[in-house]
Amino acid sequence: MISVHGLTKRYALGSTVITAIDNVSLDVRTGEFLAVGGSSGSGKSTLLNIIGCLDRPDKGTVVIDGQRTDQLSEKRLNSVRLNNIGFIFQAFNLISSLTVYENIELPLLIRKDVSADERRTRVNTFIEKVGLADRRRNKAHELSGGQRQRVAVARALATRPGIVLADEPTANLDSHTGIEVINLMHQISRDENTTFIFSTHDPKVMNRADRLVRLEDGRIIEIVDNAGRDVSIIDKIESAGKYTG
Amino acid sequence: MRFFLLSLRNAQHNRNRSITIAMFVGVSVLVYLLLNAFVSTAQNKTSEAITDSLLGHVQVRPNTDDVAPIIDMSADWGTSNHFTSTQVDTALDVFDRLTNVEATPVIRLNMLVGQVSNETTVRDGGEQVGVVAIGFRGEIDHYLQNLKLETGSGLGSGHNDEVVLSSSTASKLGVSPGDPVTLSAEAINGTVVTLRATLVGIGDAQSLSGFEDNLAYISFNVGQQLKGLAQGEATEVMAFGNSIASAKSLRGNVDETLGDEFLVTDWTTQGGFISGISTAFTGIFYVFLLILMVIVCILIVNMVAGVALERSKEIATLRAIGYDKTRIIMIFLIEVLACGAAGAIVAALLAWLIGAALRTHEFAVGSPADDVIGSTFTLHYSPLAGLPGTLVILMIVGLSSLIPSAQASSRNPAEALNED
Repeated sequence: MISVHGLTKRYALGSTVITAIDNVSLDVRTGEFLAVGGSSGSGKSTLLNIIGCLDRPDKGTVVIDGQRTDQLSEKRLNSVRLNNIGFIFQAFNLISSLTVYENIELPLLIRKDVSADERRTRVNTFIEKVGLADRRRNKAHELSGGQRQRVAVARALATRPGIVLADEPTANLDSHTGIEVINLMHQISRDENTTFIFSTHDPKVMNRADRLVRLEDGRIIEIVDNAGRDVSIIDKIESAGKYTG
Repeated sequence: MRFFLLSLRNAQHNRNRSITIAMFVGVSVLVYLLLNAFVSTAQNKTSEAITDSLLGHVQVRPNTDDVAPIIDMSADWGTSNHFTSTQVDTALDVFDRLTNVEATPVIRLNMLVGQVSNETTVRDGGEQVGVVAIGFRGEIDHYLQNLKLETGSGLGSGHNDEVVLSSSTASKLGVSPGDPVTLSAEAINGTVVTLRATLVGIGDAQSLSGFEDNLAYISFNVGQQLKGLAQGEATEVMAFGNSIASAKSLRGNVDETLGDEFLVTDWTTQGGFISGISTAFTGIFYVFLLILMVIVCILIVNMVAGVALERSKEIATLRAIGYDKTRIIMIFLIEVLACGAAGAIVAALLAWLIGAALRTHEFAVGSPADDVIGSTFTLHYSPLAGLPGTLVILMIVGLSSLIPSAQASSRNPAEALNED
């Protein structure tokens, strides 16, 4: 369970202060598949970074599984990221010098509670799950965009986190591959009871979410339950052209 | 620790950069190893010359107020300070009981060596040369390690009153082995003692020629007569240990046992200006090495800073998945050290090959270094001798990678991830 309340984050750009997130409050249920929609600059990435303990809010609170993370020390935040949160990035952010197997193994290498056998089992399990068993020895540059994002999904899930945060995971993929990756994430979310929060401006991706949170100028302007089932909402969003890249 | 895999993979992946780092470190280590071999060979040669021909490893002298280092610009070898025969026996007994080293009574003095015009007298107006002299018992021949005899023999050849001169002194006097010479010195009672001795050998110092041109070796009884000392008396007791490195502990053992009337020193404090010159040459080497290391450090800092900038997204990703700053710094450190160590190993192999090739080569030494280390020089390369310095170089390289990697790991990961 994630609960953010009164979240505000401002950035200084020269002499100008930009409010990236403005008094945002939101609860996310365990196992929920939540989309955060909005145009570029609406505050999606900032919200995900704060929930993911990569950034701190100027105001407001973030509670993850009963623990306030906005007040934790840097050391504790590292621990939260390692044990509780998985990240998927728009540009995949795989380590180019490592193979598929090693990239997925990377977060597990610093988990003291995971034995070498357990590590191997988990990596192999997730390689199978994302369908890259025959690519385990390939390096990132030898993979297609969709395959790279699958590796990123497997890496995010390898530590068995309660929460996976995906910032525009389909933005660098064609629409077909993007849907495939979202479907994969959705399936894993169901299988592992993992909370997924992903930002997107692609309506086709949004309609896979259990719930859609729309941001504009750092504020939540709309929350839509079962967005995928209400085709009219997606059509409305699409026709308004607010979310097209 | 398996996350160091990333360091090794990064080193492998960025081959050109890794080779560059390895080359920087390798060249530094190679220069260090070869220069260190040259400097330590020269220093050992000088140190051994000092101990063999002048000081021994440990010296025991009367403990008086006016004691100066034995080989010093201000040292006075004409002093009246001396040991009684009982004191000499006490000192020799302590060496005998506590150590298994060779100790011997010695006479040090200033004297004039002169030509003899006939069998009995000093030639009127004849040449006389002022020298400093050490009186050894005939069985002591350590000085011959440094004084290479050109003609004749060392002390203990069978004559009662013997002297060994340097070739420059013998040349000034125009004497050859077998010739009589006169020796004059001021005795401890202030009178001038003159006696006749036989020149038994002429030689040149291999090292310390600047000093040993004016050095003469005389038989112990000649020294006693010139100094006006009674039977068994000596100006000091000198001991030759097993190695120059063991001198300090030898001195410590003896010093603890002998009373306050004895001043116990070792060669490291008695080398005076000769040790000073040797230290100056070593100092020049370390200054050169320091300059080299500063250049290498600047290059490494720049290179790691460039890598950190290039990999800012990778670092931010690692931070996002739970790697803390220390681990990220360690990843950079291991990468740089792995490249550096590879360079150092190659350099050590090269240095060993060069050292082996130069082992038989005799280098000519120019002025003024030849006055201290001799006119020729043969390199003795010891692979292990350079190991501590090589580790220090690697440590410096590691430290120079810390600053940029610490800066890189401290960046806000959210900002780094949002950069294009």
